[in-house]
Amino acid sequence: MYSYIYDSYLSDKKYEKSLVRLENMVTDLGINGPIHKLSILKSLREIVQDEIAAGVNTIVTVGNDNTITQIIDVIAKKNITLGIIPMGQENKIASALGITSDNAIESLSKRVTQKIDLGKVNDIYFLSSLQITNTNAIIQSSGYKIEPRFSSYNIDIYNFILTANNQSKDLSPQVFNPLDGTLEAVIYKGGKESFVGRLFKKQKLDISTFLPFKKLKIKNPFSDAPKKEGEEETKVLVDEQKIIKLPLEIEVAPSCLKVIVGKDRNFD
Amino acid sequence: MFQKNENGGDAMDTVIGSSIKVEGSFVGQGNIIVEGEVKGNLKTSQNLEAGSESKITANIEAANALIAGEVDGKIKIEEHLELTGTAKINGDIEANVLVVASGATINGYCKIGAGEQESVKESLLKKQEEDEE
Repeated sequence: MYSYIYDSYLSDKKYEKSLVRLENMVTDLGINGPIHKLSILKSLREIVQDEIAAGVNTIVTVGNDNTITQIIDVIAKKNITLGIIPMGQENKIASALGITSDNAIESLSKRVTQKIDLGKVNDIYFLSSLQITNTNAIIQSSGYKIEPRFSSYNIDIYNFILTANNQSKDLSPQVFNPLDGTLEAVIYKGGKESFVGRLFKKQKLDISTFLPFKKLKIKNPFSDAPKKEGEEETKVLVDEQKIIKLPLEIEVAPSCLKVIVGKDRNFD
Repeated sequence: MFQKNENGGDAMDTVIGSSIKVEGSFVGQGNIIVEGEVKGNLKTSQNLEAGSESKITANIEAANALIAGEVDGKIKIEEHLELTGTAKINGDIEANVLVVASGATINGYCKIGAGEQESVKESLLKKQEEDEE
């Protein structure tokens, strides 16, 4: 049984025709189901809980990256399959999973699923990455710690990368594979551009640290010291959407999300 | 850098870059490349490569190793250890095969192959004699 969740921005009139077309297609394919439209008054968590109680086994998000990152944290570890229909701008997650607006309904109907890893940071699940820029933070894992040798550095944590397959050939995306049961930390000298962003722009990189791991902690070096006036807290960007603060406890949650994927996904 | 290890396993190369310092017991599952600083212990069942800018103050254990930087500590290599001309070793070496380039410095004892432990000087003299024959 399918259930569809429309993001709130789809109430804009410009999406009306696309949604009618979508509803007709899913009805024709026999994969239609109840539709829930997100709004200030409707909490995503409540909708999902109600749908699970009603026996729904597939929840389809109609929206963009932001819609998906919101629902990941709600459905992780639940016996629910996630389907994605990208609509509008910013659909890098769908694209990395091989889903485009052209093949989304076909993929939904074919229902090729994969159980992928998620990352977990301070009890929040994330799908793709964490980014910490210009930090002196210390990384601690079982038995060792890592700190900057000269000045501040950037730390990116990846589960998998949000890029279309054809763009990421030089990157060996298999390294950032959500089926391998590990996360990867990439540590490099400061700057605002992410590691992956720099690679795409072919900027020269200093030798970066590359560290596969299952669990680690990241904290400020002087976290116990009183905060100085005007001192900014280190911000952490989760899945290019949410911002959280240090300290972090990060671990991989293996095979945690069952998701419908397309043929041109970034991993195998 | 971003390669699966030679044995086809799932473990990826770990790279300790020049901008970081690692302290403690670092145990890797795949190949380890060190370009930065390590203090403590460094261990892998695969291969270790330490670049010319690397500074390792640690006991090292690996299957094979290529060292071009500074090491303060014992080095125990199961098979093949190669020291380049820029390598500076302060500590004992144990390996099955040792290759030392001109310019490398070693301050410690070497136990090479299945034979008795011998000093570096003795091992180098032996190698020289073999070359002359």
